[in-house]
Amino acid sequence: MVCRVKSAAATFVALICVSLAGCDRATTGSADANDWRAKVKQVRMGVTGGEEGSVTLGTWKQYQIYIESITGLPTKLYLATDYNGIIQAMASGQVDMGLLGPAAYASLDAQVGLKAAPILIQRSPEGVTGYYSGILVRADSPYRKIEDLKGKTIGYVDFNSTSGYLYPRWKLRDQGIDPDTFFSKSAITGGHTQGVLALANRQFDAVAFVASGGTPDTGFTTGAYYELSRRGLIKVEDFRIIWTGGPIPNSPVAMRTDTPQPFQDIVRGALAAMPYDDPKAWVGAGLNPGSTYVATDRNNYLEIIAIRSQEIAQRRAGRPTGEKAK
Amino acid sequence: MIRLLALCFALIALPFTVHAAPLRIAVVTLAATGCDDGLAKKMGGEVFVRHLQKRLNTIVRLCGFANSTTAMQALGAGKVDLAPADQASYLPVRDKVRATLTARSAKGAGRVMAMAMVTKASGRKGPNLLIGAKPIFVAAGEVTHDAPLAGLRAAGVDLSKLGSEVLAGDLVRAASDLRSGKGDVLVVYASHYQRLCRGDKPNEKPCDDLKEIWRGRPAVTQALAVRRDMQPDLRYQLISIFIAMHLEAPDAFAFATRTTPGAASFDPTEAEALVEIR
Repeated sequence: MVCRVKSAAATFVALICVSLAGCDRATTGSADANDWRAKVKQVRMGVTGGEEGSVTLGTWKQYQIYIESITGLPTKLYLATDYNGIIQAMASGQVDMGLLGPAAYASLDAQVGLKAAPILIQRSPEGVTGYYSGILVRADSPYRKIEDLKGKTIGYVDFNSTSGYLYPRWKLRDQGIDPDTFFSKSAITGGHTQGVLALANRQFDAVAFVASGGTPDTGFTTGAYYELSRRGLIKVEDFRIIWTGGPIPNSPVAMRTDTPQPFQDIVRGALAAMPYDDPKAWVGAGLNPGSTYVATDRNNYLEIIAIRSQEIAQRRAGRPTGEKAK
Repeated sequence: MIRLLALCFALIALPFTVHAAPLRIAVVTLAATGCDDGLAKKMGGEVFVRHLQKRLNTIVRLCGFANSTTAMQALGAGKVDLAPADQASYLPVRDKVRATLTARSAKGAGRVMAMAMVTKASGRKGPNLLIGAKPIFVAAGEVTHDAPLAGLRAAGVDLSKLGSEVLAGDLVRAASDLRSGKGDVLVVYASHYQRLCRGDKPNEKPCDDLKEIWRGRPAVTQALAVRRDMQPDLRYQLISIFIAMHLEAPDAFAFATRTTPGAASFDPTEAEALVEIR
């Protein structure tokens, strides 16, 4: 009798066991497809304006809505006032993903190496994945070419800005101009918008700025300079572009690689699918119609990583690089 | 009993992968053997299968079919999960499957988005009303002319019934030609549209007198299709893995694009990308 009870109990346990073990496990695809949600709990996005200036807080709010709908997880935006804020937040694991300028990604790479990776980059409708750095002067100034700025003042955006600091300085050196001695004074303005406004207020003779949404041949349409004009704060015709350098690889969406792989793939796949699955949401997020996201990787930024290392080496050697704007 | 309970807990705790249904990928091959564990080796697709297995954490099987029609029928019937499609094989199972990825050629601009605009005063309301209309293009060329025309064709416009083309030479003149009636419909690609219509001043609406009657991309001739009821998570995972395959696993990418020589990468597509006339 005891034996029979034991046997019945064993059969019952075995049945429960088999049914539990087999529960819902015939779904095609990733077996841990749902486990990652319990691990991630919420999606944390670091937010900056990005280098191209077309991505704003409003844009990220649209992303927030979209990613929440895809992942089913609460998605939080962490607004960083400058590039360094988002670099530190990503480096310390306080945020999972963010839009970084190329130089900011290079800085992150120097801090955490492969624990963060660029995963997506914007591609224009005609297939271009880069943008430009420019030097802007007031239209009423006598400056027509870069040589005219010898002994004049220049405003840079941010030490971690690609188009507004790193790239133009590297490119000018490449053209035989040492930016540390060529200009009489340089300073950090704190942002693309601040730089253009400082130029408008005659605090500098020239500023480095982001030029995107076109090429030197076609002209540009996006970036802080154009956004300020659309907001009525400046007039495009009051300024002149006298130098451009590039193309620079576009700002990447970067992700922490120590997050679960399904999470990384689902977010990347969903963002890449967005302009095709939901073109209205894409445009609603402030992204240009016809542009898309394409995959990218660290190799795309090796030149920027090298330029940044070179710049830092020069800084450590005691070369002046700019001081805070007054 | 204790041992049975321990075994039970161990079974329950086993990683999900062990019991997950395999991902079945249709491939067109002379060895039309259906789903076959040995097919990947026979076809030289082991790297591809391993890459997907590692990323999806599940078993991946190749399933051989004689052509894309039978592969798509199998997809429609739920016998495979991912299958190569062309326009002809897609249409019969269109209600059950969707395009999701397509190979992008290393040459050419790809699926350039374009827009067609008419003056509001013209009264034209859709691309199907363009019979006899004279299209204005900024210039000849793949991006400015050929791709937008292919997009119009995919939207159902009978190109043979369009009027004579106007090549304006530049964007400003093209818009002027539309407003002056030199042509009837301005067909521009997306960057030109943005340049023309975005404006540089507050509340400036340079295209306020124009009406957009179409925007779209050319159809694709080949795509990877999935079932419409595939779990979104899995579709996004597949998109992510495929769009980065040329960077992350070039050998796997070579296998995945063995029938589309010159492919540079995969792009996602809209569901109906394979439909030539929508």
